[in-house]
Order: sequence, then C-alpha cells, then structure tokens
Amino acid sequence: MTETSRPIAVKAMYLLSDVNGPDSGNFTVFPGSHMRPLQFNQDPPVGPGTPGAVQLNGKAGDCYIFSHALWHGPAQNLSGHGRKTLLYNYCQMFMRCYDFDSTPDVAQRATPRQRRLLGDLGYDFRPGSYFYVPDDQSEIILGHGA
Amino acid sequence: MQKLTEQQRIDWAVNGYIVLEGALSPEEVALFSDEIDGMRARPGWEPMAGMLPRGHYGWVEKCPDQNPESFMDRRDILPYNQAFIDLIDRPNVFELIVDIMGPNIIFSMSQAIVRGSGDGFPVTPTPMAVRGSGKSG
Repeated sequence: MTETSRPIAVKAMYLLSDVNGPDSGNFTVFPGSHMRPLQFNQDPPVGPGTPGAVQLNGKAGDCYIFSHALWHGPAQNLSGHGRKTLLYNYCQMFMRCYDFDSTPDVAQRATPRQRRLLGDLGYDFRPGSYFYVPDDQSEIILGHGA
Repeated sequence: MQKLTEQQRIDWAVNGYIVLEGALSPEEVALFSDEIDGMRARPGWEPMAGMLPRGHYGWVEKCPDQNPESFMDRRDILPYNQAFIDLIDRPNVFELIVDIMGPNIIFSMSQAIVRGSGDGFPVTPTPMAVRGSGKSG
C-alpha cells in the first residue's frame, strides 16, 4: 500500500442520526492512519482515548467515505439516544463479497450496474474471472449500464 | 461521472476519509431510519455474541432488544427494501468511490448499526464489547 495505490476496500457510512459533541457514538478516526499498520499489541489498546483519535460530529444524511485501512471505530455513546448508521462496503474485484457466497437473489431486482456490483459477471464464474474482468466492466460501472 | 474536488482529493490522500454533508435527503434519512427500526422485529443476520466467533453473524428470528434506541448490528440488509439496493450505486456517493477505487470493484457488504446510549468502544484487537460486533463505526 502506497500513496498511489488504489485502496483495496472503501466504506461509505451514512449517518441517520445527528451526532453533536464527544462521546455520542461518534465515528472516530485517526486521520492519516490509512498509511500505517495498526498497532495490535499496544497497551492500552488503540481506542478513542489514544492520542490522535478524532471524534467526528455530523448531521443525519451526512456520509463518510473512508479507506478501510483507516483506523476507525465508534466512540462510546453517552448521549441518551441511539445512533443509527448504514455501512456499505466496496472492494476491488479480486476480493470476495463478505455477505454472499454467490450472486444474491436481490440481484433480480437490480439494475445491470447493481447486478455487476453484486457479482453477476454476465457469464458463469470461471477461474480468472475476477482478475481479468469482463470486457464491458468500465462501460457498466461508469454509467451507461445503470 | 462526478469526480472528487481538489480539496476532497487532498483530504483523501492526507486523512484517508472524506465527508459528504447532506448526502441523503431528509426523506431518505426518515425512510432508512424507519426501515432499521422495522428490522428489529424481522429475521436477519446478527452477531450472536457468545455463540459465534467475533465478526461472524448468525440467523436470528428477531433482534434480541426491541427498543429502537438500543444496540443492533444487522448484516446483509439489501433484501429489506428496494431503497437499500438502490443505495449501492447512488450517484453522488458511488461516483466518488469509483473515482477513488477505479471501475473494477464489487459491492461486498451492507450493514445497519445502532449504537445505543451506554454502548462502549469495541477496541481492536481485544474485544471489550461483549456484543461481538465488528468495529466499523
């Protein structure tokens, strides 16, 4: 992983609750940490009290796009309210879906672009499929197949 | 296709994340929030702490805690509503992800999380949180 590498995994986190002030279940990040390995043996363990941690505030409807290599997690929540989020994860194609072992049934209700993202390559899987991608991959993903 | 602004490109490179204010409309926020509340009474994939290894999810008939303000970690949420499928490639977010990652990508995971008041921080790698959820947000 270098500054010019494509990230292996990226997440979109959608806030569905306002988050105001610290210790409100804030999405907590270590800015810049996507370029260094997590210190697994640190004592005390890396947490929201570790120097460099930033608890982000936000409004319902905001979205954070972050590299999955970024050190991240939730702050404790003492706000008195639940904090709701949606997380959507995207990987390079040589990775596999975390939620499915094959293209899920919902792909039948999806657009061509969504189906491709859900693992439907337009032909049955064969070795190399996810590395040597379908010829129409860019066309599908970049918009005309949506 | 929408691209990162110059400032977003800098933020991504330096910080490893970008913030999109108002990415969802208030109507979408209300819809998704209601859907999350509704999931609690419906079957789905949840962590099942103490029964499955941390980070694994098992099939439950409903969320053990029906209070909509309390903890819930539900995976594979696409089947619950067409809006969750359509969120996969919502242009104002997805096009920026494509700009960052390139076009050779897959969608690998969907998740709805409620962090209840009183919930702690699931520290990595020593899981303080007994509920056994993944660490993301």
